[in-house]
Amino acid sequence: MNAWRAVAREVRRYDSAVIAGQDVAGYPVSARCLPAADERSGTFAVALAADLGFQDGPAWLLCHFHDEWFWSLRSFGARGTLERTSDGWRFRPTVFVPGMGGIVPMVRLFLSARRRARRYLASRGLTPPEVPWDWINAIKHETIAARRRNELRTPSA
Amino acid sequence: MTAGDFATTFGVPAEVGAVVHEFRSCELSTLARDGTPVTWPTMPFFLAGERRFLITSSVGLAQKALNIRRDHRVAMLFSNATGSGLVSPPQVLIQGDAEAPEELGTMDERSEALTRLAFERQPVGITLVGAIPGPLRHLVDWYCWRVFIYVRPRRIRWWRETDRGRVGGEVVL
Repeated sequence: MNAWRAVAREVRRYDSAVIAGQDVAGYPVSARCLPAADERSGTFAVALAADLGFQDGPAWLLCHFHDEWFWSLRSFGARGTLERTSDGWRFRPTVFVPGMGGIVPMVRLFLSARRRARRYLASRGLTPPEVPWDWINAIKHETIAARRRNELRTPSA
Repeated sequence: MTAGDFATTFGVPAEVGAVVHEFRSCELSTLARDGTPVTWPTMPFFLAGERRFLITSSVGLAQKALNIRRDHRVAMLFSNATGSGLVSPPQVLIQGDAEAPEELGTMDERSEALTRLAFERQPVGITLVGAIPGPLRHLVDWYCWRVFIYVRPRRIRWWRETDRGRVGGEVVL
């Protein structure tokens, strides 16, 4: 499946997307947008505020979701280019990048991240820091207790 | 941290400070070797006393830190209001300079405020952390080995849908 088809299939599962490009100073610039698929050109039309300073060139499209409790995470990204045309901006995806969500992608992410972590340490000769599980669990219990006492603000409250 | 910290530190409206304080995530863009911005959601924590953000990432997901060590230019977009409790907030775009020291950390006292905030905002994560029995913790310890990323804002812009495609406000630092 080409990148455009992969993005077109996935983007429908999200309310909106984030488009990122570069400004004239070379800094990343990004904004939320509503990509409109155009199969004929293999692009997505995106409306961007003129004064954000987007430039033609390398770009990235991100869709992500989390619920009120910052969970049920899912996402994907797409590498591509941002093109200024006579009728506005177009994002042309070249590589679909899976993100979070679903059992298979999560297992794949977990295993590859674990592998990369060990490689990161080995390549730098670093000893892995001791994880303070008792301290983490103590924080966890304090947080749960505070929630039970209603000391924590609930989402959307 | 209060919403006022960010607003008063950088002289932006309180509603912009509220976005930075209450949004659960921001979309962090770093630059790949070929200049492509690479954008993924992350949870930022504003260190008011240092006038910069702290973002941590597992060493297993360290590409953003590697990008930053090569090119310090980043952007943080706050555009997903889910869970924030804010009604019709503006989008906030912060461009800045980042650093990602080689020093490795973990979820410990140095990042206590950030760890507490993550547990408060992501209660399912708490359950999972507690559910991992001791003998299996070595399978997930990589997640707790963290690289620290600091972002110092240079330019803050915000806008609403009602701004009709124009930036509503800007502070250059």
